[in-house]
Amino acid sequence: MTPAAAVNDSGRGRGRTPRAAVVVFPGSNGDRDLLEALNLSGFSARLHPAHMALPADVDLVGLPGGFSYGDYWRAGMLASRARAVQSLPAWLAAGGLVIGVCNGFQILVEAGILPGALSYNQPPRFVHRWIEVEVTPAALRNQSPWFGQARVGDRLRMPIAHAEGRYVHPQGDDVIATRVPLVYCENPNGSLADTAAVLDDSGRVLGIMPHPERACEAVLGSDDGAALFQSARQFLTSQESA
Amino acid sequence: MTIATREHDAQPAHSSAGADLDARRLDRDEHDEGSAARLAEAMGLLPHEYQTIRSALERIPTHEELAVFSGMWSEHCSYKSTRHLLATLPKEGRGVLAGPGSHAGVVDVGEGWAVAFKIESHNHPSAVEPYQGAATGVGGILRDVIAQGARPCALLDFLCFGNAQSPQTARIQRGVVAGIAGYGNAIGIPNIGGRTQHHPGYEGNPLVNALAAGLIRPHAQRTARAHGTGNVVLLVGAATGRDGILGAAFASEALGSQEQNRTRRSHIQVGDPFAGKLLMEAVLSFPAELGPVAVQDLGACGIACATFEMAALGGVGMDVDLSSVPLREADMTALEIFLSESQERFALVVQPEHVPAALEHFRSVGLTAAAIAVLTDSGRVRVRKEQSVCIDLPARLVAGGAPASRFAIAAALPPLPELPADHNTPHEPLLTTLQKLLAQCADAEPIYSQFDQTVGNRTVCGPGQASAAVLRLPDSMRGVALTLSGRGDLCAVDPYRGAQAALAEATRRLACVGAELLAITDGLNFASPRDPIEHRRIAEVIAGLGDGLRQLGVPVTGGNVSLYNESPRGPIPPTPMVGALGVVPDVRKVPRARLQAGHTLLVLGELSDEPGAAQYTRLRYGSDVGSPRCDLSAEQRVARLLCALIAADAVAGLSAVTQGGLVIALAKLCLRSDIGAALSLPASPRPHFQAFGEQPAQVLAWLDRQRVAALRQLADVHAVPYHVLGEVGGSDFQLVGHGALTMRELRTAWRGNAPDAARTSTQRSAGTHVS
Amino acid sequence: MTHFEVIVQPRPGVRDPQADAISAAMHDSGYDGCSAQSVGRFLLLSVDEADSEQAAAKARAVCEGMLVNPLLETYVLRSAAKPAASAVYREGQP
Repeated sequence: MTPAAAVNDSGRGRGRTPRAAVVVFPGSNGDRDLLEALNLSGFSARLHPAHMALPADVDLVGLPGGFSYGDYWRAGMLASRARAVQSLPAWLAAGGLVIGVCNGFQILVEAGILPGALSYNQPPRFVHRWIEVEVTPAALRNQSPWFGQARVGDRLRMPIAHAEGRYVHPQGDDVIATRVPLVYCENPNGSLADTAAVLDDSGRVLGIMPHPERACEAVLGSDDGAALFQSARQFLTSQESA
Repeated sequence: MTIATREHDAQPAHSSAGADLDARRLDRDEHDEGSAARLAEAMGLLPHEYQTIRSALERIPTHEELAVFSGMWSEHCSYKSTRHLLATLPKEGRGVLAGPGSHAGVVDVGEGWAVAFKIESHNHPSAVEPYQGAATGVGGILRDVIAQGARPCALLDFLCFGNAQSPQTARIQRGVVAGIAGYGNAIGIPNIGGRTQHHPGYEGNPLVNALAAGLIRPHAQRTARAHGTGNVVLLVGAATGRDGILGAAFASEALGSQEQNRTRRSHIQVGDPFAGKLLMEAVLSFPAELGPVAVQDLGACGIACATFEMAALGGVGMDVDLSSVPLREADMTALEIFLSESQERFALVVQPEHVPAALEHFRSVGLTAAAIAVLTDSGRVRVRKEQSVCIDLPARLVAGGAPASRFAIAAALPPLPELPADHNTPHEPLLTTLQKLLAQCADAEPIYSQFDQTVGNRTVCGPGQASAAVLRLPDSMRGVALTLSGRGDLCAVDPYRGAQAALAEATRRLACVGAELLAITDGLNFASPRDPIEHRRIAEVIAGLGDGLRQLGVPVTGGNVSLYNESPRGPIPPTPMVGALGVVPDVRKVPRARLQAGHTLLVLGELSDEPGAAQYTRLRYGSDVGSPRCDLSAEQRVARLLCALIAADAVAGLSAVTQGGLVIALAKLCLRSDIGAALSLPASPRPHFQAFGEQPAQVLAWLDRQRVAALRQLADVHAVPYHVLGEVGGSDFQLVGHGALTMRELRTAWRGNAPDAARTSTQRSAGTHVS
Repeated sequence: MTHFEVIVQPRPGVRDPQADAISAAMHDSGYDGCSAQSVGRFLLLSVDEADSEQAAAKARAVCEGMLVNPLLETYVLRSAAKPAASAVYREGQP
């Protein structure tokens, strides 16, 4: 069942602009950036406060970058207890796509929705840099909706901006082979096997450390990130018309 | 510039704790003329200042009142030693919507947008506690921009440290950079440019200045002018603790037992970017239907400064009840509450019927909020805690009433240190000098890579990408350019010309991204005005700035003065920092500072080998000697040419020649582009001054060979000389007649031998690039 | 080898933004009646010194000379019998 068909009556519908909600946590600072990127890629996106359960009428949920609760104690931990995140598994069961960017990725792993953990960078400091990531076979393995327009070996240029982005996982190899759709071309933070992004089993939940939402217009340095959002939109609209 | 800044000037008198005075015994009844005068002196007030207070009040001031005067009449709140000099700077200009005296200057940038921007120093706090000093400096300047009504969109930072090799410098620099990153990254304002300079004169007294810019609709500006009897002052944000109540007012306060002292003493201000973010959003989203009548950020002297300044600006009075201030610590005295510099706080004035809704607006996001004062028509600020009134002073006497300081000034500066006679003979191979100078002009990437440069999705050019930072306006291809310039080493030898060199560099940098200089904010960092020679240097810098600005037709819209920057080694070099703003008509046309193989490289502007003060001169002679080279008319001609070239898409790239001179600019450009070049300069009797002499008004341009003729035509029209330097390509940096360095050798000189630990993984084979 | 536990905390009265934010988050997440009083740092310190007096002196020296910023923080030094379990946890072996 497609996300749109699943909750057709409650607002998701055929033949219209897919809807997106960007969750705003106290301390989020990338919420507007993600909102603009989604709108630019053909979504009708709105902001949604973290203390409310996720709305049923949206096809995509974005967890933005930033410093939710100041990143205090452990990045993403405090935000992962918010009601919007706690309602995420139930929301996902009805279909739908999720992207967590940077702090959003940290929240997804803290909530246990994605495997592994994100720890302090090696070397241990915040790093901002324009980097390239490469699409791996895992991106296409489960026909992930996020990579419909991608080919294995494609390189995407986008910025990273984080202090706790070193991906770690106890059973590294299995995860890498099946769940890591993007790897850093030059590892900036000591991530296990150059991991830059992780998918869940279904391929519908994407956690990504670099910022595709800041790479949607050539004049700002790159429009490679738009491919992810456009893939997601294409997936949602083609599901609706199928 | 009457709005307070939050710099703590380490004024000598202020730091002398009046150890024998127990303030608690000085209640009003036993407060006689003699003890009040002694207390005033112990708090750093000068005798003529006390006399002014005494005769204006026609009674003996209370201890609390003297503490308020001590803070509000300090240099950083009153500009008492520099305001007569600052008054000479041009303030009027095209598009200026708000100038000095506002929270931040505001300039119309077109398409219905204006930019609020201001620079501020946090030097002394950063020397004491580098991380928190720098972090709270960033928080403070952001609140200025927010108070003006603008949404912050950019930060820039200007940092000066002592010898790069000293362990003390390393410690301070690490903390300062981490502090700027810690606050700016978390609150989510991109840091889009900066300068870092090392000079032995800053050893032990670093300069940490931050510039914040914000976007605002011209009609949406806010003001600190309180008005309307019966209106209510709200204090919102974080709770108040004993933070940052340093030296000044508390020199005489609460000197109990050691143990008591340790727990009661003032605390270092701690920045909280999380609370700062919540507060920023709450202030910016404050509903228009609730007002506010006036807004003021809380900085130096806390509630005292906010209430006195808002009342003085509006010509009203205020009755303040300190019992209603939300506190973080129990048992705070009235004075502690009134003067606390706890971070992340604002004061708002609203109409009484809006108070409940306004308080709820802040409380609903977890911030504290309380009504602390009511506006009166008395023109006086009356302060009470519980039922006892401890302060009752005319607002305009306290805010703006400080008599001008009359420190002695030297008639002239000592003669300029002359260049030694051997300067006409080359002293070592040019490429050896290049390597030494590159090490001094080291790659700043390890610093700026710790700052988020792209959050907010407006950054067209960030650090290392062009000669000035460029931001795009919302839903537009129009942009604004921002840059910082300033050279303490040049001002150390010639403060007048050194200050003008900063304006020249700002003009040049902005023109490289196609922007004309519209307005500046000035961050002036000086030593003690009580030293007649230093006082003269201060006057010369401001005169140089004023004359230069008038020649360029550019106003100052606000800024900051930080005095008493001295370490045991002596005074710092006078260091004016120029924060420059310009408009970029079309951000798509901004040329990138990146070379490609096959490009022809030229220098626009006159080639010269005139000797003068420069980074090179200090390298060669071990001290700052010679006179800075500066020619503002030539800068204006070059700037007009650059804007024409960009408008006509006539160049592939442009890069300003700045610190280190022509060949350093070439080397850095090749390093950033990761490509070599074969270059030649005309024969000269002084090849080092030609290569490294920081000659005025020079810009590197590169383009396809077949387009050089068109460039020459435009250069001739604008009467700008040019010289073809050579071709881009290969893996060597070659200077014909002087030999070559491999790019690897050049990079080692620039970055040192330490491998960048952040780049550890294996290079992957190149794949296709998604278009 | 002598072992110590070093607990570094914000000085009483110094603003503790982490504790404030954690308290707020606990409240937001429904853990009513809980609040974070102070957020500090923990270090398990080993000193290559058999004499306990000398080891403690060395430990104090490293705390006061490097680990603790006296302007902002205070610390507690406790002797520890052996490294706590968390110190021997290795990545990938929970």
